Amino acid sequence: MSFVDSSTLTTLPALDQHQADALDFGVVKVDDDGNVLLYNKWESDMAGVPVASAMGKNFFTQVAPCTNNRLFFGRFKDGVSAGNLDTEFNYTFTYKMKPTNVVIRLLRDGSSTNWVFVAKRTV
Amino acid sequence: MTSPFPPLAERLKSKLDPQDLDSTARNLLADSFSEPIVEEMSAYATGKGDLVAELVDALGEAGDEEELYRTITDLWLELKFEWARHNQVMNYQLIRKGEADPRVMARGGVCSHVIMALESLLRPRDIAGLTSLVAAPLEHCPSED
Repeated sequence: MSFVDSSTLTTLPALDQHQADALDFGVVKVDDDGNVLLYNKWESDMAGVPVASAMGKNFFTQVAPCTNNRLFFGRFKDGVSAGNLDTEFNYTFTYKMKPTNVVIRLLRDGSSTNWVFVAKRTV
Repeated sequence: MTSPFPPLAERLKSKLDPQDLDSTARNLLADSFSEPIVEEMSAYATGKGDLVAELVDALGEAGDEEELYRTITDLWLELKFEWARHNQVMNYQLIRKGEADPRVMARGGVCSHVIMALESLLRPRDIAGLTSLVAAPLEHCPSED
């Protein structure tokens, strides 16, 4: 079962900054190129990246360079291209933070909006 | 006593002091990694500081801040590509074997903090440009032979 609960999924297309900031996992909304449209507090705190600094930047190449490979950005691009982005996998973040094991969910919702969800993973 | 080094060289020595890097590495890793790994990464971090000291000794007194600045950007690239390699190794290990080598994780974390220290000496526009280069280096190569 995904760490992204069903109630969150149903509110997704209209999820605003305030609602995203209330969640206890990372939420990043990106366009089809990966540019950040929404970046929540949890993600900001974990990554050490101020929300304002992330907005408008490319999540994969500028905000979170850990994700700039086929495992992560590649999966995103493939899913967006096919129109069926919905995948969950384990990952490790180390850029400018304590090495952190995470689980990632990439999702394109019913309104063709792309989401990156991040939760800490205990090993 | 007046330092023989001009301001940029002094700032570089200060920001990447081997003892400070050692402390950074220990604080970063102590609660999540074994003591042997912490000690290994402490030596790794200190080694980066020694590398910088060598650079400053070679270039610092020359008084050519533009050349030193350019060399600092070279070092940033060197470390960023090193970090990118650690990032690839740990995450492909994770996907293929179910776990990443903790040494690689630790080294990646410490390397990124050395990068952070260097970035405090660089202009934001230069960081942005260098980041773009590292994100897609092949795009800067000719597309045809």
